[in-house]
Amino acid sequence: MTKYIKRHDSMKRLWHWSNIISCVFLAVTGAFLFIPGLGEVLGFDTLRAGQVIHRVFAGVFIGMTVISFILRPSNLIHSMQHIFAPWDEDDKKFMKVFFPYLFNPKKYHMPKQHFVKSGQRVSDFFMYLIIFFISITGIILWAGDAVPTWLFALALFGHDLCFFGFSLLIIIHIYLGGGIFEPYHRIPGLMLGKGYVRESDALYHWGHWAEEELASGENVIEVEPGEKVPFAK
Amino acid sequence: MAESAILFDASRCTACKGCQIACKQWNQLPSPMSNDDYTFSGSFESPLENDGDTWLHIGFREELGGPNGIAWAFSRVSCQHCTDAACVSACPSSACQYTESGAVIIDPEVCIGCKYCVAACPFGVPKYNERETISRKCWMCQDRTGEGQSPACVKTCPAGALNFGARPDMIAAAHTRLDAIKATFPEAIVYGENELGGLHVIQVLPYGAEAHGMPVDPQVPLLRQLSDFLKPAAAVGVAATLAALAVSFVRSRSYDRDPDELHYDPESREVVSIAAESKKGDE
Repeated sequence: MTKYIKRHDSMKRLWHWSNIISCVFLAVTGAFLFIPGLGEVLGFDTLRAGQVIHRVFAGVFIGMTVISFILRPSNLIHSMQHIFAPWDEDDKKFMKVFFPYLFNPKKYHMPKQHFVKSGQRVSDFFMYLIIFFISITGIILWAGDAVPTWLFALALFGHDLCFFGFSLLIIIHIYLGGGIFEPYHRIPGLMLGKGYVRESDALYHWGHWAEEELASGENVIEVEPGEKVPFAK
Repeated sequence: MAESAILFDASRCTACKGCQIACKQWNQLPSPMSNDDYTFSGSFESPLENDGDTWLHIGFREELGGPNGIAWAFSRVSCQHCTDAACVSACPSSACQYTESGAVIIDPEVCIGCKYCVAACPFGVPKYNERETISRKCWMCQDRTGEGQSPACVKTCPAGALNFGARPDMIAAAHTRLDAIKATFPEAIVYGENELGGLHVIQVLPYGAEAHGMPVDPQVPLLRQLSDFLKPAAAVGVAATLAALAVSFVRSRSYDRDPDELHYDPESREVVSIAAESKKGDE
């Protein structure tokens, strides 16, 4: 019998899936304009189509965030609480050891973590900040002639800067969250799959949180061998 | 092809706006035709700024003073056709292009209407055309100059304030004129010879650059310069991140934590490793 702990509810997973799809289209069509010379290679029709696709998925990206917040505001509120929660000794130690661990996971032992690892709290902070500014600047760019030229120019640079920052964060996020980094190889199933984490994985990655959950048993299920793990609601 | 330039001699301009009309006519640019489409601003300058259908207008600076009670400084508000054109470097679709004659054009067949050129221009020249959903500006009448004609604005100027020819000739003519008017207009300058790598509109400005609505030392806007720096920096940043993660990937491949199956014991409130315990038992 294996124990599983509920980690991501259905709304969070749906929002994440929507973001994945939106961001792929936004990044690709954004790169059409961001990378010098690429637009000329792709040609007028592709660029025009890219503009339309970019705006459609920008709407999906912003819209789904607003909708998921309205339907389940607790997710964003909890996320903010975790980001701004005070750091304990384990959080500080995690950040100190994280980069050596990234390049030599055999040698370094990571301290227990709460629901969100301290490194991810830093990443989430910048992710939310960038999402906010890339959305605002995108709306200003969309408004075009309705805004003063200086504001348009500022928004254009801000949008490019956010795109650069977002690209770096997303590459690291895919490497870790996508389980390409060996010690994280079972992570993708949490957000992309059914939302449950195996007891052993939970204890390895988020020791403090897992122990609290296992002690309370509130979000814990037990799955018999051969039985399928259900989808977390 | 030798580089060409337009010479605008503001000391000869009477602000008749013939050039403004000729530009509209030749390029078939519509104008508002009904009453009160323009709100009277109190100035003879009309319209007050260019737009997607107005690529040239005469600007007026009207101040009290001068021999007749009012001092006039007219300006030719249009593309300066920069040698180092910020619109060209900003354009993602390569619609903004240099021509062999030095003119800077926006190819309407290629423009995607992103307005990046509008934001980049230090003179605020390109304008978004709502009707065509692309950016437009003066193209130095390439259809005329390609056939050996002068641009429509130059051709129509009745006061002889506009001239067109090889750029060195226009610069030489500008300096000759400057020498002639310097005694009457001590603040007079030649504008466009060196600005932004050299403009392809050379101007004789009797009251100095600022009075005629031109920036004294035009520069590519800072945000545009930062943007030009950001793109290669972003490429380096992304490449460095990917390289670092590739190293991490290679170094972490041999690590396997699966043998250590972790469990939480609610009784002792401790985490136990099954594999580790089995090993202890074997010993």
